[in-house]
Amino acid sequence: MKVVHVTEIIDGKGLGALADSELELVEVHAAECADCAEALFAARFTQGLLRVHAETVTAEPPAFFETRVLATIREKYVERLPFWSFRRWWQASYGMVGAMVLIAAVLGMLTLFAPAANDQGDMSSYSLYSTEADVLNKRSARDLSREQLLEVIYSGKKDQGKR
Amino acid sequence: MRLADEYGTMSEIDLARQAAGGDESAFAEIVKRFSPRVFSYSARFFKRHSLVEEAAQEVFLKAYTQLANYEGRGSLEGWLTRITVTTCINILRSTKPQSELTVSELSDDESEWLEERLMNAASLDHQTHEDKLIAADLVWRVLETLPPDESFLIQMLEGEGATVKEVARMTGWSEAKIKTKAFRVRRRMRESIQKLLNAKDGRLRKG
Repeated sequence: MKVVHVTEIIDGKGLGALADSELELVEVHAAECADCAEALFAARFTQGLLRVHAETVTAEPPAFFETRVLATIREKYVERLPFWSFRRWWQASYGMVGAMVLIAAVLGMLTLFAPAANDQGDMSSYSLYSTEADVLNKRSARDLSREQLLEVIYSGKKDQGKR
Repeated sequence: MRLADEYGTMSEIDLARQAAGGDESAFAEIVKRFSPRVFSYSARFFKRHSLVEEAAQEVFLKAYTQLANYEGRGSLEGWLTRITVTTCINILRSTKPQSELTVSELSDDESEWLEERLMNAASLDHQTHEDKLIAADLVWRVLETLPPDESFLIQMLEGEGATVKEVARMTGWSEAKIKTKAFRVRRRMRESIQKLLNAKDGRLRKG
């Protein structure tokens, strides 16, 4: 009679996936066949070892792992522009341009809204020696007589002629 | 500019779209949200934490360059898991698998642990934490003798109890391919362990 060994069943499905009827068949055969008994023992031992191994195999990502991955990505894949590339310097100057725009905006606001230091009419801006100043320094041309007014106007010219 | 909280509540598809459009904060949120899962899967391939981290970083760099291809048909988590598995397998493909583990290569702790299990009817239940670490180390050494795709497969099927369908979703492999690979890797793994047990058992009997 041809002996059918059960190692094919053990290795084919794995002990964990055998149906009760299949496991019974394997155990009955192993009770009479030394080779298959040895194979069954080794298969059970292997399965036990692998389960213990599965329990002990653990690995947790270290802290800041994602930061390290992103740093590597930037280093490896983000486009590197040549040193003299216009785009590189344009990108690098974003901060400086931004600061300049901000300063210009602040100065503009100050010019528009801050009170002027000298907003009242001040005669001191006129030349002290002009004829107009002479006339205007009098309260009004109407307060002067025609002769006095002519004298004021022409006295300047006379002074200039003397010089 | 968006607030950080806004990214935290954003849907996967929106995050992917924003990130594909060059929004770094959206991509940072993707990394933050899915890195525990990526680390968990990478840890099935590498024993050293530094290698797990390197692989996880590689996964996110790939994801960044391929985000435009993500159409939102499946979950972003599933999409990232597939990238993780493929990336880890590709990294390991260049390294040669270790030769088969023999009893003489076992450390004192592993050897002692194996003897004890054999004398106590191979019980793997109710072990101390130290025992579990020794067992896990022994498994790593056996897994290192397998190709990376097969190593991952047996860990998922036998260690995690995942179904063939679940593994197909994780990896993008067909179910037929998984079944064929699973048969081969179960046999290889069982035979490796069986050889170790037989050699140890033989020594015990002789001793």
